[in-house]
Amino acid sequence: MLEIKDVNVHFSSAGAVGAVEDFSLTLAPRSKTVLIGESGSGKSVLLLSLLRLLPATAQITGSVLLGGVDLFRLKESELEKIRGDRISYIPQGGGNGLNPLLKIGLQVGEPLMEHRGYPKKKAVEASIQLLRRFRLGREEAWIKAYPHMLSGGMRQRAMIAMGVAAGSRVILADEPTKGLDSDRIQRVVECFRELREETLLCVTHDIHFAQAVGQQIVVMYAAQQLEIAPNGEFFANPLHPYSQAILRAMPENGLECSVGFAPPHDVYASRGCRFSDRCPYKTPRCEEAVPPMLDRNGHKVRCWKYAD
Amino acid sequence: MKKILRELRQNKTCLVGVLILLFFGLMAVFAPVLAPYDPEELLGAPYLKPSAQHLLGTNDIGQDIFSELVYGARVSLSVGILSAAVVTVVGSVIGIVSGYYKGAVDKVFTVLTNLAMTIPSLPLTILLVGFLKTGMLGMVVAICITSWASTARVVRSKVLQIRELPYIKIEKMLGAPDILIMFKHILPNITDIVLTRCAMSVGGAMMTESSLSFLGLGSFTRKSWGNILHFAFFRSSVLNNQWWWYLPPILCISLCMLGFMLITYHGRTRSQLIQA
Amino acid sequence: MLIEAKHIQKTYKNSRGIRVEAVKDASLRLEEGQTVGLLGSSGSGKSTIGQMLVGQFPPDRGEILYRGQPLKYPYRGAERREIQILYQHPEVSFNPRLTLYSSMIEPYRLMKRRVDREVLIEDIRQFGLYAEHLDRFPGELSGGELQRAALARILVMEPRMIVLDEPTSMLDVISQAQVIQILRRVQQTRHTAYLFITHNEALCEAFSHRIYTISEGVVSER
Repeated sequence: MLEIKDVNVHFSSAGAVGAVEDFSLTLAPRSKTVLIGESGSGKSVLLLSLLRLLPATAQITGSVLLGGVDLFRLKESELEKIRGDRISYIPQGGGNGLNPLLKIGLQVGEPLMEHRGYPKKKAVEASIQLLRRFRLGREEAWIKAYPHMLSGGMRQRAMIAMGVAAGSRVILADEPTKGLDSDRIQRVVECFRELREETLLCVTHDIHFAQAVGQQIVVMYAAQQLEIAPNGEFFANPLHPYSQAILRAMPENGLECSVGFAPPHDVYASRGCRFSDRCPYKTPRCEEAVPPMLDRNGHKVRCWKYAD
Repeated sequence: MKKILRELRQNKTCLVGVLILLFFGLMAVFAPVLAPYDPEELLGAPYLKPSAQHLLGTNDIGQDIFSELVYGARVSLSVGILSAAVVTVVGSVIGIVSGYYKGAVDKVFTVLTNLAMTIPSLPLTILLVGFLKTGMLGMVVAICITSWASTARVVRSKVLQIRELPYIKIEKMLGAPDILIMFKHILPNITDIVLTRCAMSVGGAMMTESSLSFLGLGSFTRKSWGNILHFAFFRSSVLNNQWWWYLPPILCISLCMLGFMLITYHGRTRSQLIQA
Repeated sequence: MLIEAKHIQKTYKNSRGIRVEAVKDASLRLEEGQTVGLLGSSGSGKSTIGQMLVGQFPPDRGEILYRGQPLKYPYRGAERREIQILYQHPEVSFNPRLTLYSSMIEPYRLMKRRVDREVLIEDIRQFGLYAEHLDRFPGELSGGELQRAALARILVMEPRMIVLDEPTSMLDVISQAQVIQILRRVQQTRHTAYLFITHNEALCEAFSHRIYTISEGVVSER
């Protein structure tokens, strides 16, 4: 469905180091992929780069194939037709993606007016159905409300409804659970599970959310992918030391700190593995070169430990 | 300094503003070098047309208008800058104190601010200038008496936002003295606004000074641009089509105002960017 | 008993001028060296309780006892020093115009303790911070680094009790575990009491000795 190949993103202001380096990923139709990483790892930049929504200082290379068409080769006008129609982006931070001056119904229905030529009235009516799909509750009343009247979780669900409104087959979501508490996260999880026809690529630092929603898990650290694995495989048998550290640090696993603090120097400058300064299994080889992405029966990992 | 220069190169609007003001600033500083005559000197022939000897001719009592204009920059700019400095300091301190303490202190200052804002400022200023009669300093006091209010109001509303931020609350919980919180932690975070307001105030004060001088209320011992205009109009230069007399001071005032406005505009867009 | 809140209550006006009863009835106790969890969803009033305990504003009704004596707002002297708070958003817990060094030396000055770069570097090492961090501005540090620095900063005041207002909810899991590990170590050596405010049940259970739950402004012991 979506084929991401060797995407590199550089910001001209930040010198030679990349924000995203050699990112490759295949999203099967109707699959759900969750990309986890800490803030600053480049995961949000990657998402924005796919739709070319980054500021002009960003230089993007590589290709993104959507049904055989490379989004990076399209003209801006052609891409505009695809955004919101075949591929939707749900931005971070609940309400910030919604226009505070427009009623919910109109905003959720807007992609229908934009891409399907619905008249305003019909679009607003359709928004009721969309919101019902994500169980907002009292949908008829809420479509007349302004964004600030909704809770953070409701706004997030409204944005998901807006994302799928025009029948987009690919949904890109950025940190959909940020700032929400556990009950509300649960509802957002249900919303994403509800997406059966759509292909999802979601970025998060919430491991529970990743486990609940993702079929494929991708781990990103300092602009590079470290691990790609199916959900069950990842949570039962994480290969990369960073992934292992993440799972051990979960509260239910005892909040164990198995890796050190991030070093104060610039890890991007090192020739070797960017995680090596914190890694408990570091060998001399780790400092010499960035490990290649190794494929172990469909479970990919970027670590020298598995090179032999 | 390097940072400022880089920013100027990127922002053409601001650069133009700075260049304009630099031009007038240099003119004021080097007035004795630039002006061919002493502006007070009576050169004999009145109402001369522009010529090589007198670039902008002479006025009704035979003083060189170009020299008047060059020296006028000194008075106009110094009144403007001095007033703006007072307005900015007073306005910022009142704004910070009132926004930081809230409650009773804030109520008192808000009433004062509203009062200062609702009083028609020009008539009051005229009245004060009439009473104070001490030349430039009186002028500065008269201008400041009403114009601190808008600065205070803008600063206060920004301080009300900042005081709710965790880093200010943490300072309070650490038991840091209020003075330290207000001037080390709040003030540096509103410098954008303060400086923007300051640039605006200079423009405003220069305008008020010109208006007062034009009305004949300015200092007669030291000539400002408004003062030149005053004599030009009252000696019927417009009727006599002596554009070289009335037009240059108008241009100087307008250009200066433009310079300050361009800088202000830049400051505003920047603080909006930072907020976003 | 270090601190005890007795039936405290707080109503405030929200931005639209509507009166909101944020805390209806809250009683809780905290012993020295203990971590007490306060578990509730957003809007339950849990942060308001923390803010009252730390003396940001007084309760409308009820009283707060510190070492058996009623606390008067505003706190002064030892009370002010001994009750501190760590906030949810580390990125706004520091003055953005000051380097980490300038921010860090401030509590030492307030405590009239001698401080220089060497002392500071020695003190922050146990928080996973290094000399290189000191010259950076808050915007150049990660959330985890800032939160550890914020903790190091309030610990200079030698607090007896710290209100932890969701200190790890904006952090990734590894940074979260590191902050919790440091908090545990501090508690062991200094016997500090924590009120741990969170919406994360698993985290609350893993970290707290005892848990209160709060729902719609009413606190109950679990």
